[in-house]
Amino acid sequence: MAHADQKYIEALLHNNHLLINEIYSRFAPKVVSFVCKNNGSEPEARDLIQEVLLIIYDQAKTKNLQLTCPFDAYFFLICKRKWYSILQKKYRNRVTEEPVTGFIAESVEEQVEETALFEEKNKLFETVFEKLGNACKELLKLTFSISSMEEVAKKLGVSYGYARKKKSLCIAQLTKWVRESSAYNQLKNY
Amino acid sequence: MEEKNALLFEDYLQKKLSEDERIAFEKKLKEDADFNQAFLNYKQLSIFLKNKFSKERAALQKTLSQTGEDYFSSQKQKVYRLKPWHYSIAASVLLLFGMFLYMQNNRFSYNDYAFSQTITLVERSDDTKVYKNAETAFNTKNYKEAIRYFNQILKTEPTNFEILFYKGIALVETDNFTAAELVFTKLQETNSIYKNKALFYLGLSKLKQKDYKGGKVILSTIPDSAAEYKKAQEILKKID
Repeated sequence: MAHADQKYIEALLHNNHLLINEIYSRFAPKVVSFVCKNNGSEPEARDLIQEVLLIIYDQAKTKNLQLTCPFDAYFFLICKRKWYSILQKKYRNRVTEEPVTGFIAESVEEQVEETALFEEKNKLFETVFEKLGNACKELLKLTFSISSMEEVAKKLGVSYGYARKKKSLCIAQLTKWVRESSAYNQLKNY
Repeated sequence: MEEKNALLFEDYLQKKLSEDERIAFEKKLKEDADFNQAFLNYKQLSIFLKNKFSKERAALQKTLSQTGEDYFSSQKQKVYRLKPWHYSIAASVLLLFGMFLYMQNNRFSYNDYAFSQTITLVERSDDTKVYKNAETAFNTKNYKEAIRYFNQILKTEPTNFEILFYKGIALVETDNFTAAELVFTKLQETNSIYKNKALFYLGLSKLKQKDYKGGKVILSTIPDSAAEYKKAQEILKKID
């Protein structure tokens, strides 16, 4: 059964301004103070929070994320881990993640781990998408933002059959790159 | 592989296959693992792209950035909205804080004395990799991992006092006090150069557990000829 805090996930899914406001007022202060204490600034904390909320949305939208632990612990741990990885890149591995002190419930750990995997896979998809030529990028962008394929074909000045075939080939190219990537084996079953 | 099936995958997802074709397709999904995996990849990428370009996601992004903006600027305003009488409070708080810092300086803090050097391990056998691993783990404060490597070394060289000493440090850092104290007691009974060092960190381990009485007794037994004597005396003054 989903945790009562699933309401925050739903809030993201439905773009509920009131509850999203609540997410910021309830959960942001802890993240901000953590980032500021660890070589970061307020603007960096703001970007981090936004990025993490968007990842949670993506997972909820495409993987049906069901929260089984408190949002507070889940959200904070993701932010913390992500901040450490940002620092690590910034200072070229000179930062070592401090061992997580205190008790972290298994359910939180698991859920955070799953989100980390999800993000990893999303990043891989994002990278291969960037590798595509402009023609494919443009076509995919259109086909996924306009629901009717006929309209897409008309907009691009090509036949319906061609647009459909081209779309499938562009995605096929993506799957090929994904399959060839070194991270694929660890992520394929997720 | 990918190209051959792409259009078929697309038609299945768009529900454009005939009934017979659909049944045949689903049968193949069950029987052909590679086909199944290729389809899953295709489907996941389609879902990813659909989400990436969706209007809902763009709208949420806008909400998040607006809400974030509002939240952080309201936090800033709070800081600026100071009334004159706030300054006198701020001044007193500052004064108190200063006094607190002053007292803190004269107070014992474990972190001021905890082992903080990086270590370089002397290789004594052909198996140098485990030494290197132990060294890296310890120097990057991965104490749990370091302990594992230390144990591996100690299995073949139980009297490697250097390793034993660092293991003791790692144990204190991970709050395994009982095990740490066993190690230090053992070292303290040897005639190695780690004898007094062990005594010092045994005392420190007690203090980390807030056992000031126990720590005091141990630290005061460090002889004045030892390198650790000065530091031990400094701590003794602070905890008195």
